[in-house]
Amino acid sequence: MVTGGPLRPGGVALTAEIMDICRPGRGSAVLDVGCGPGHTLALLASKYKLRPTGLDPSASMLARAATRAPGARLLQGRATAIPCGQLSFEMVIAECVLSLTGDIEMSLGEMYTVLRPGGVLVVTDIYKKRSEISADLPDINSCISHARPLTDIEKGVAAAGFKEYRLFDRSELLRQLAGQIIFDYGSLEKFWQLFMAEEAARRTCCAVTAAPLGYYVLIAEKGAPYG
Amino acid sequence: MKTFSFIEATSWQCAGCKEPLQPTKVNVSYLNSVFNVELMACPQCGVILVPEKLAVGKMLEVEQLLEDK
Repeated sequence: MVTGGPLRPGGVALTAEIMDICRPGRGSAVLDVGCGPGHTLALLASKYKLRPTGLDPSASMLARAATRAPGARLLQGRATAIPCGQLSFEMVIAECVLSLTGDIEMSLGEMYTVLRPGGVLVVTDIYKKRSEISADLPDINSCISHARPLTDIEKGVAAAGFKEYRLFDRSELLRQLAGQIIFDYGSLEKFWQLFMAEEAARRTCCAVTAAPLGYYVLIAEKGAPYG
Repeated sequence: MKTFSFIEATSWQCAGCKEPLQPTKVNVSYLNSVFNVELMACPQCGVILVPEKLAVGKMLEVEQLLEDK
């Protein structure tokens, strides 16, 4: 795959970089929201010795995750209704999925609820650099068509209850991925044609090239009660 | 699942080593990004043949993407 595993900017190398910043304790319970085929789950278990739980709405993705990360607990469900008890995790990670959840405010609220006090939320996703621009995109459920401006993300994080967070602009990883796709598939259009009809692929390709999209990493901490 | 390649039979050989070029995985650094690409290269000294369709075709497309908007 173009990112050495999952198809998202930065790939597992970015996940490892974030883990090296957050340094969750060995054995910490971590929820991967939108775990897909389990690349991050496998990394969390093998390299960082964490206890990962993967959440994904797709049964086929969960089946692939079970093979890739056999020790992980896997749950079928959505970020807007996380099927876990309150205060279950020391860390929640959502890579390139928040904008796909349909309701980022509700999803961030759910993530806050399942985190223990002092727990850490990690979100990476595409964002729209200028809110006034609406790209001409086909009606598909992709992180590009649902990208929101950073101010929306920050408001959602604050509304969920997180008081402190760090935000990193990693837009260079999005451009890197797009460039690598051109080298691997010939053009962005040919790449999108693997997933959608020709006309939709053309429109997506034009929008990606023209729209000012960026990529962010957000790390937020759930404060201790009364802290 | 790559569907595109710059690898093609070529009569070019390395001028220094006189070796026929072979498909080689290389890292191409361009505008502060690094890309993994398979290109024809000399197996002995590593000199790489950059085909015209890469230099004036794909690089332009990538350049347009990498420009800051």
